[in-house]
Amino acid sequence: MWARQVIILMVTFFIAFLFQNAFLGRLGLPGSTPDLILVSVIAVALAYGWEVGMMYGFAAGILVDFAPSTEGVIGVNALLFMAAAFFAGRLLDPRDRTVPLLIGLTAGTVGAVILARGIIDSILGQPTVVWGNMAGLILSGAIYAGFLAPIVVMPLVWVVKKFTPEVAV
Amino acid sequence: MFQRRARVVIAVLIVVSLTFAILDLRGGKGPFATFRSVVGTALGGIERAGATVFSPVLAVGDWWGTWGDQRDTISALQAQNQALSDLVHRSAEDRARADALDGLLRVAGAGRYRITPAEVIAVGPEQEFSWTVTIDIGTQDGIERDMSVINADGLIGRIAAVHRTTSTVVLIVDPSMSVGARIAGSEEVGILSGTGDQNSLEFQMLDPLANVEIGAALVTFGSKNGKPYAPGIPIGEVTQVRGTAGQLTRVATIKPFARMSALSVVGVVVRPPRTDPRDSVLPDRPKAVTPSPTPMPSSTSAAGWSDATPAPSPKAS
Repeated sequence: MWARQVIILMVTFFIAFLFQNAFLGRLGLPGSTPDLILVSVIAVALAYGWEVGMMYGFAAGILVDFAPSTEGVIGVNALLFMAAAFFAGRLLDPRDRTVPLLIGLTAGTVGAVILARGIIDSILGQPTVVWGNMAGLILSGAIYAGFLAPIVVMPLVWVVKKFTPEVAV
Repeated sequence: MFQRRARVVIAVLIVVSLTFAILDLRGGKGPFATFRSVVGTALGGIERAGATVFSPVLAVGDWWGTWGDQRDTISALQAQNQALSDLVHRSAEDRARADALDGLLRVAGAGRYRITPAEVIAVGPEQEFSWTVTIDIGTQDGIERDMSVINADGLIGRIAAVHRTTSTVVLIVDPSMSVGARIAGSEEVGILSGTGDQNSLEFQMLDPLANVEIGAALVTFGSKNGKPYAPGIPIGEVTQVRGTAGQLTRVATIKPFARMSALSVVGVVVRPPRTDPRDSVLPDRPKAVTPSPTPMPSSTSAAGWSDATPAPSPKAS
């Protein structure tokens, strides 16, 4: 059970990371880049509960922090992803996991994370935050996350229930 | 049980994150440099592999994105191609016209004719048994009846009718035409008549005893005031001589230099030269051999028919 869960999480991260950097990032969409990794963190929190979601969020965040194309302070993404997993997992009861709710929750969480990242980065003064773009970034990021939410969450929940039914929420 | 352990783990992870952040903020690449490079190498490899995988997909996106641009580019290129090929065709045509004009200028310069260039715009129908062409200049260009018409190769004909902007030219092959001509390099004169066949005109020599060589060139003898024919214009060459010396008249067949069936740029001699250019207009070609060359009377002015009646030529007797 543990092994299967870990494998599922690793594969999830791998796919999310691959699509995020090699595909979505290069589409050149207006506004922010669709944050597929963050959506996957929310999806894991919804599928496995907020505790596993937070652990996955930590791992994903740390890896993103260390990844070549990120130049932020190490640990910030880890904290933000953990917070996102916590709120998403706590707020949404698994029983009313409907598509509109999923979209709204994911969009809201992602928007909040973008805002929080802006605040933290400007406090730490690490990458220079351009606040003029912030509204557009939050809006576009939330919209993209809303589109991604059902595509990511539904298959993940199905996989989780199929292969690790004991720990699925 | 799991919940409690998980919460402990999460608390530890939060602390670890914060520690990382603080350590990273302390400056220097210190504790993370190695780890960062290892993770970076691994994830960078994944990114590169992904890039390879997704490149075709992204290329499709590019293709969609640039679809309109490409259509524009294609139509722009087509227009450009059309314009360029037009230019190529035109420039070939222009070159041909320029060559024709060059030849015309050479003739005009050699004979010191003042010419007005023109272009043949229509050819009279052959079934009417007259050989005429229409050129695109007329009275408003100073053209008058009976002016000589030449091209780069030689005599074409004369102006038969003039209108405001066009003129009709009777070609020398027309059966009604007769031109006073002289064999280049000698004083043998005669009358050239059209036959309707553009490769064989008839040249009747006045001196029945004259010796004519195949290949000898003919030039116009010239008329009074240069009308209808200015002197010294090349006409053609002898291809055949009929009749024996001593007959009442001897007839030579002449092939004109100018191809009457392929006329484009011609020139109308609006003013003949003050002095007869003699044979100087003829292009450099193997000169007609005259049996006993006589010194040319260089001071001979443009002569009319009357004073051009040939003296008994010494070489023929």
